[in-house]
Amino acid sequence: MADYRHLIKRIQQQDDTAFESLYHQTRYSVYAIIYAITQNPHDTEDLMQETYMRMLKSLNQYDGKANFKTWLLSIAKNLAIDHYRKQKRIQVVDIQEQESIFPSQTPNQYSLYESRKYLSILSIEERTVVLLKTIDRMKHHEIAELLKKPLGTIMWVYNNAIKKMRAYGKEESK
Amino acid sequence: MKKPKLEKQIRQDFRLLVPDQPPKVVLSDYFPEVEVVKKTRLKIQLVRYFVGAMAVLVIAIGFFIAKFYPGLISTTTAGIVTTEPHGTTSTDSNTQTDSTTITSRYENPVTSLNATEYASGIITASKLFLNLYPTSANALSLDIPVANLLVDDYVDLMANYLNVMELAVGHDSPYVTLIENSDRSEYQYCLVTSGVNLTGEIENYRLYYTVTNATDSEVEMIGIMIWGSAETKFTGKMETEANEQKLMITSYDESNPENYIETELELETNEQEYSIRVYTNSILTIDSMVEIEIESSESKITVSVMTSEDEFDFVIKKEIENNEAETSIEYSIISGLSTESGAVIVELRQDDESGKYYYYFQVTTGDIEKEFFIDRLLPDDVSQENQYMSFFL
Repeated sequence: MADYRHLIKRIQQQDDTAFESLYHQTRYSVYAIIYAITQNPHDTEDLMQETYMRMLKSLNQYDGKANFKTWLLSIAKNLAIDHYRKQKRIQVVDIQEQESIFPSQTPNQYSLYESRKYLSILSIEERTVVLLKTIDRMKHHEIAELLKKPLGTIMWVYNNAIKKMRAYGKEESK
Repeated sequence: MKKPKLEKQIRQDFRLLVPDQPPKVVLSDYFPEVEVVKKTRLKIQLVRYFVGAMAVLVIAIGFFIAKFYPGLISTTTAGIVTTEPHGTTSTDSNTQTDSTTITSRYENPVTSLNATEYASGIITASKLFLNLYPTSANALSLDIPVANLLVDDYVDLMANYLNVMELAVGHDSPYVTLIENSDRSEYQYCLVTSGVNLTGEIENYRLYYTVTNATDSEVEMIGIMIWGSAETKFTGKMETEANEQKLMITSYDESNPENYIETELELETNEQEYSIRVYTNSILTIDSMVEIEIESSESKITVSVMTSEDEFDFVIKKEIENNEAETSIEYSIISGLSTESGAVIVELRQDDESGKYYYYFQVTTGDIEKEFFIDRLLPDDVSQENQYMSFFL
């Protein structure tokens, strides 16, 4: 995993470019973790911003013992869960309902609609693993380290999720 | 929908959703005072060991930049010219400011904390990374109609790693490190390292540095490394625990801090792991790892490299069973949407006419078999104990 100490030190010395670098290196993972819980791009974006601001606020308390990325993602996850609870309802994301938002006018929008639909059938854990693997190109062992789970579990979860999505895709195309 | 397509689709779609820019913040609101690094009493021995290691690790980075990213660090220029011969004699000194020569041997790289042992290891790593990308393969006699395998482009690269494996296992490689008074007022010390590379050329580097923190278990420093007319800034840290040592260096371009290289070396008993991550405009462009395990019955080097376009893994293995050694390579290559994996049988053969040694590779992938004959970079010296080729002997 990447070593962020150099960047952290520079951020603490008020170096804006270091903060931007840190953001660029971690943004995909942060997005993945939050989206896996909220399944809502707008909420995810807001919570992402809050995650980084919360990180800056707590950075002086970060002791360097834990992996920085794990620490950052735990902030993101907690914020997403809090947000989820504040909604006081289970967020059932009906992608079909949102079809009008993505009216298939461009391939990208249609493709996004499709991707979200596939992800919506997964559990939070499955979605997390799939998004970390795909968006951030993380390897299985890195995800295992990050989520503090055995490598075998992560591989199983990932393969199972892919199978589920493929089966769903076949059903849909009938 | 097939698995690769689905993954790719999700990646493409969701990456577009992730905001490009971080939230607008005023960092002084969060960090009102700049932390002042305390200078602590120097632990001379530990520092000395550290700087030797630091020097060669920076050298590795320097090589790496010069080879692959000549524009990454603005002052980087390739090419090292020196007139100083390398030596192997050793003198000792008790003070930091005296000249101190350390002789490097690659015998038992982990059992004790020793800068020159680090040095050999890191030089080895630099050779590995120097050969990071494939060139053209030397496929010769093919019994089967040519099939366009991915491995064709990687065979030379495998051979280069094999050279390094031989070097790591059997070569006694001298590197000399000399600590001098600094002639640049902004840095406390100057360290000069010289050695001989794989092709027999002498290399020479100067490292200026200031130690910012030193305890029994940690040393931190900042400085610059100079080779030829090039300068690279760096920050470094070494941590030592019971049976583990870890060295981390970040080398960067001061005028563009978004371009930098993180290097990490971890040493444990019988194991060394090197990681080099290259960031260009803050984007991770190369993530690579090399792990070397040397044991009596099995030696193994694992190479894993991921770029934005390719991903490959090699496991080069030497196994000894019933006093017979067998060398093989298992590989996995992903290039674009193509994936290939297979096994390679490796032999060291001698040309009847010239007497020179070369590598013979027999690649098997599915139903396809190919043969490759590849020149060996190392000298053909089998006459002395603990010299080249012991990997195959």
